[in-house]
Amino acid sequence: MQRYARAAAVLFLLGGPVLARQTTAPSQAGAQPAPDVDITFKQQANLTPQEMLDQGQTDLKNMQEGLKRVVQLQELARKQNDIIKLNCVNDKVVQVKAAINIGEQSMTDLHEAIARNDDGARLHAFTKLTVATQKVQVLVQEAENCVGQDLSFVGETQVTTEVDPNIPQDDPTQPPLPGSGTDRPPEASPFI
Amino acid sequence: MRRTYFVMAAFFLLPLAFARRAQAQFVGPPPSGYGALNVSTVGSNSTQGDTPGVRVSETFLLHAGLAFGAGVDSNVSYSDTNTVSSAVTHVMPQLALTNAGRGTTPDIVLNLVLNGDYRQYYSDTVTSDKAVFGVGAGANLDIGTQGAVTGTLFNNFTRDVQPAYTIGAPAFVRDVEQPGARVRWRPGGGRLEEFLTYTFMYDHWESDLLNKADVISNTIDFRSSFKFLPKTALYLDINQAFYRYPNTGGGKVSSNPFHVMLGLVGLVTPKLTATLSAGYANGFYDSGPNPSTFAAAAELGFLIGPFARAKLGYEHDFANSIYGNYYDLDAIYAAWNQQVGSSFLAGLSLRYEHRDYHCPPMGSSLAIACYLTMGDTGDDRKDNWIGLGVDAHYFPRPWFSVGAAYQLLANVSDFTLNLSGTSTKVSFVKHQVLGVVSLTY
Repeated sequence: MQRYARAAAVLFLLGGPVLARQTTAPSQAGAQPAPDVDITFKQQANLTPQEMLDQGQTDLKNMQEGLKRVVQLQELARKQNDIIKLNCVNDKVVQVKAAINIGEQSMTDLHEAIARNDDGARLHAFTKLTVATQKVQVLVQEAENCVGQDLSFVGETQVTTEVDPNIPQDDPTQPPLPGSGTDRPPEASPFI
Repeated sequence: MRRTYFVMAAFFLLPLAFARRAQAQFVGPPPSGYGALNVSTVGSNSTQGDTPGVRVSETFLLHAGLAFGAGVDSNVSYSDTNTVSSAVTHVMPQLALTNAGRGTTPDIVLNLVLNGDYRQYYSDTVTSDKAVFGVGAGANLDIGTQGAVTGTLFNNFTRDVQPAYTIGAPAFVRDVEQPGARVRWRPGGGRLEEFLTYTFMYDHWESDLLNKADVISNTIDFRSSFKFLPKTALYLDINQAFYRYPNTGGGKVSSNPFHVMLGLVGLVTPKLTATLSAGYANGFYDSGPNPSTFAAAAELGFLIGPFARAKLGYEHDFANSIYGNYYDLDAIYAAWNQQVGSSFLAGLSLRYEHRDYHCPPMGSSLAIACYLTMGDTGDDRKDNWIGLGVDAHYFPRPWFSVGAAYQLLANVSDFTLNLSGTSTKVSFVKHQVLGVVSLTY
């Protein structure tokens, strides 16, 4: 019994410094301290497949709107006969079209991933689509800069809706379709 | 007639109307209701992706299931005295084809559901229609589900067979065909929603004695709702139906029932739903008694934690009736669904209906209308229907379940029949117990 007590005492005495060393090691090393804010891009979209499809459709629509805006700027530059502005905007138009191609391909991949029930591929396709959308937004802004419209044009109004995740997904306000059912006739005569 | 399917809903659809069950319950509860077969036209949770299904094309999944039930029916012919009990089995296949489910809603959605029920009684005393087969088929096509305007075509067909009130008499065999269409318009991003629904129904009795009660109905329903919260709306519902009896000689009277209701539906809190409505209803019968009454319905649904849901409701209305012109209906109902762990589910439902029938003043000796013999008063018969259902299911796998169900069904009526000088009550008490094994894919 005494041997166990001695062993426990030794472990306690040795273990304390080890624990203290572990907790203080980073500061002793003098290396970079842990950042207060995690700015690495590792968050995953917590969306259902349907929500991803809806968001994807919205993104594609926004990209098309972006292309429309850039083409308008291209036309404006052409009317101004300003070859420098036109070349600048033309470059953006080409890049926007390329980004839209990537976005459309990503949307197709997203549909396929949902059909396969492949969550990893679904997330990947959705991320590609999101990046393409953001790229188009940047290119539109750069095109605005090309023709000097950025000070007067602040972009389309965007409305963001947030729904409490605790609210049930079913929509009770939707009336059901008429159903077919038969009631038992009451006993009312020798015939029924 | 407008509320006829509500009775069925109390037993078939009500449990399914609660939260999606954690596991697939392909064939739903065991056959129950007022003697009806399991001929629901509603798809099970399998169509929502709870089971894998068979991929039949790029977008369509086929779900197939088969359930077998065995039990006892304490009162086959719904009699007050001299009841006949029998062992009974049910074989219930189901097929469902859909391109929705699994969390996606395509712009065009097609759902097909086919339910069957083969029922066999084993008592030697049951001499007529010991083995019968019923079927329920439902189809609906939604076009433009993501758009501001959505069109829907639907069709329901049921063939139901219910035992007669007399042992040896032919069963009540009934075919109901119900096609229809709906247009939904959502201007302003869905804050306002307008629904226009048309439904045709042909309700046919195969018996020569009862086919005089065959009815053809056309119903137009308009509903305008205003969503003042994401899942809560005020609505106005106007419903106009037209009932006609193509076969003469049954003493049945045409009518044009009209309802206008104002109500609130949706979430009151994240855990409490409410459906409250009140309005006016009129039967517009061509002759005889006619209802012109206040109509109302109130229902509260409670989400009690993540594993239990409860529902409590009341309704007051009138319904077109095979007996007399119509009956006033007052009903209260309650239900409880409970999930225990990940693979055990149980449900309890209770419904009470008070029906006050109204016959033409002079009555009639015709089989379909109010039956009169010497000594019968023939009018304002009062029935009290009581239904109690308890069921429990164990799902060791998502595609396999073992369950049991008990149902009490009773009618306490003040009506008596004079049969050969003998006064016979039409009240009855019926118990049904059934064990069910279900396979789903």
